[in-house]
Amino acid sequence: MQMFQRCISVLITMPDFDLPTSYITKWSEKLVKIGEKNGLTPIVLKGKNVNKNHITYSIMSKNPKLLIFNGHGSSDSITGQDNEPIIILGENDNLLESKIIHAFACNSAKDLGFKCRAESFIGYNDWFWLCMDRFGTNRPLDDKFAQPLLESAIEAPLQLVKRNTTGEAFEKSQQKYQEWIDKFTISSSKYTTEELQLILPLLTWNKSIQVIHGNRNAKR
Amino acid sequence: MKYSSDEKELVIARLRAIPDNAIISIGLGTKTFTKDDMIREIEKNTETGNKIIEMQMFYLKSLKKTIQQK
Repeated sequence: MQMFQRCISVLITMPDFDLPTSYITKWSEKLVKIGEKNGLTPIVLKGKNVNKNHITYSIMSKNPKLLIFNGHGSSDSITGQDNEPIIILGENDNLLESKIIHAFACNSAKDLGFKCRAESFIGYNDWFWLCMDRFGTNRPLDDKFAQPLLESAIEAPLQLVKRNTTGEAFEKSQQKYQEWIDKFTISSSKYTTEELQLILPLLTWNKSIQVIHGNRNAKR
Repeated sequence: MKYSSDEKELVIARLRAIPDNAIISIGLGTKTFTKDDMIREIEKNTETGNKIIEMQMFYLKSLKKTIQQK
């Protein structure tokens, strides 16, 4: 039993019902493979399974220490498939108590992340912006407009499934944002001036609203 | 927050320059916006329009700060 619980240690949600969630889910798939390589057994909830009942059951019965939420959110909630609230401050935020959390969900670090008593919470305390190429939405991993934004954001949960501390995960994600900003600002790149005018403000904004609460030495 | 007409014009001018094939999810919302949609939001003084100005002005201020530090 002890071995069983030690193996199952990361929960990842992957809602998929609109363009932003389809992009984030596609980019998050690598977390599963890298988690497995690092000795974790991910519990993956996809599509319609990203609902309150499944989340509650998975956390209560399998007790994963690391929870990675992808999707939409607000200052006091994280949502799942079809925007169903799955974690709500004051209602079931006790599910997050003493956990290590990464929430790729707008605004959720503001109140929920601050008040949920997680051991550590990485997320965003304002609106996250994502730009996409309307002619490339069927191939999210190859969308060069989305790549700098998602590569920077995904760096944080990526570091967590590599079993680094939340402090390291946050810093590496911040560094990734800055690398893209510097690359675009200082050197020439494969992007046109018009494309940079699109992406640079979004990168700068998203970097500034990424926050960490709690114990920076927490790790899985 | 209320923005001046100069700020609105500046942001609209910047938005006109972004690629036509770009679509943007604001706040990871389900709805996506083209540059024309965003310009309309600013012109109509909506909450989304104000957020677009806030984000762009934040970037311009950050850029100014970076340049001043060099």
